[in-house]
Amino acid sequence: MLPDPDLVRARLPAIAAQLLPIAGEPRNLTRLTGGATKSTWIFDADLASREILLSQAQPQLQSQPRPQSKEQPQQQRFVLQLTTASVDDDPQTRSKLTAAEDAQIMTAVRAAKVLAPKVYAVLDESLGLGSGHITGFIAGETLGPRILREPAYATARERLPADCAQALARLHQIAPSAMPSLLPRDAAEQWQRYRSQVDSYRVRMPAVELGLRWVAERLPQFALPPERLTLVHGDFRLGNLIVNPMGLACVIDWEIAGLGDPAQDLAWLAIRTWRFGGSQPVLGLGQRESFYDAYQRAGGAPVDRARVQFWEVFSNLKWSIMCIGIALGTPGSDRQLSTLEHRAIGRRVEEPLWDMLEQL
Amino acid sequence: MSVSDRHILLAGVIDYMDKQLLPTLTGEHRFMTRVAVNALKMIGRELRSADLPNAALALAQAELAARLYDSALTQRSGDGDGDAGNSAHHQSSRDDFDSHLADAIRHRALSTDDTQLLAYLRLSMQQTLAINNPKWLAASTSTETP
Repeated sequence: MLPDPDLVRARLPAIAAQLLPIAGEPRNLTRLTGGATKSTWIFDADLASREILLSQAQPQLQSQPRPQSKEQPQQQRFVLQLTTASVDDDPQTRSKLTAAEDAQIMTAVRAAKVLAPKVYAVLDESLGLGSGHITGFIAGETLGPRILREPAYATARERLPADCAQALARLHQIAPSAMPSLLPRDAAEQWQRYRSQVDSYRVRMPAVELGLRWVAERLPQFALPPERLTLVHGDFRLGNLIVNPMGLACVIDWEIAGLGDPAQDLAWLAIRTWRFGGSQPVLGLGQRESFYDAYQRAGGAPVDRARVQFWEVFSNLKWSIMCIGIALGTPGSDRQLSTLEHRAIGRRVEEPLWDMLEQL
Repeated sequence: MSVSDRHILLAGVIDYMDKQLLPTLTGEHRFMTRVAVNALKMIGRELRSADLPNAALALAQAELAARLYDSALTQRSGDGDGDAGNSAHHQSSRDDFDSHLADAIRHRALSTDDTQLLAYLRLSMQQTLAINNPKWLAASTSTETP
């Protein structure tokens, strides 16, 4: 159970005073989203020192505002994310990272110059708000249709595929041994996870079964040996990218990051669902080949096209299975959707399945 | 039969919500009303589709059923032409068939590159997308493949 909003308002001042480098009380606490298992809030506070402000600029982000005055307290906006405690403590079967693991991943990838939120604090249950973390707020847009169409993002659109290629190349080069406990995200693990999910549904769809068998038959060819698995984001796409007018500002939603095939991150962002009507495959904006070139120029391993194609088929299959789960109200789904929206998503199952059939 | 049949009534509801109600709304209610309008448009397309038999899909289903099942099951699930005038029965029959077909695929009664199977699945998806999101079909031809 997530804490009541009134409880968050009551407890935050003491928690912020204890955990954050701020002077005075938090202000303007506003809830942005509130799902069944996750809620997100923003608030403002004055930082206690100039040094801390300087340290929170994003890596290589030239447009980040700099302090203008030494006398005035510098205001920082924070993001508070609260999650319910995991019902499953087994890292082999858990579908999501705990808040503390999520924070560790963000800190580690940020150290490798991947644009990720700066973690200021991790909340444990003893603080009275359940588990969660507090990160620095990054200004920008996450909505795909706006990023793809609004004039303010014209320059960002030119840069975004290469920015994302660089972010993924850096992410995939991080030594997994340097990371905290990583969830398994390899092809065989994911196949088993989605197989079990489909088995729990009351609807049976031939195209889903075809996709599951098609993937299973190719696992011997495409499953990577453990030493070639890398850190993967797992949901790298428009919607989980904060974009400012100059390009990529931050990669968010690291809660399903794990140890997997880097090709899955290159494939997931290209399925048509995440193009939001854009005419090009990569983020709706770019061609695959130029994206792969940018990835390799940024240090990414040579891209095996057949492997990425396998993951695009699997990605379309996974999204169709997720749509079914959302429409059926799968327990544990943290999608903050009304009943109407849930049900409408049940009418989107065939979109990725159609594309999957086209790709077989 | 009412003077305003179901198609006319539904079109009136959609028109009111889309042209008169929606412009007065903001934020969450505006978004959800758009979702509702889209859902009603789907229902409208589904009602029209139910009045039109899909001979190609029925034939593909019958051919596949003939290979998979005994004669009793084939007759029940594959007789598309006979069901065409009764949309509820037709849909129920297709749902039953799809459920059996899903099992057959899972238990390897058909290969994943079976041309009749793929043809049936494409026709089936095509019919569903023509109701749920016709734009998806229209745009798919321009999709670059890897």
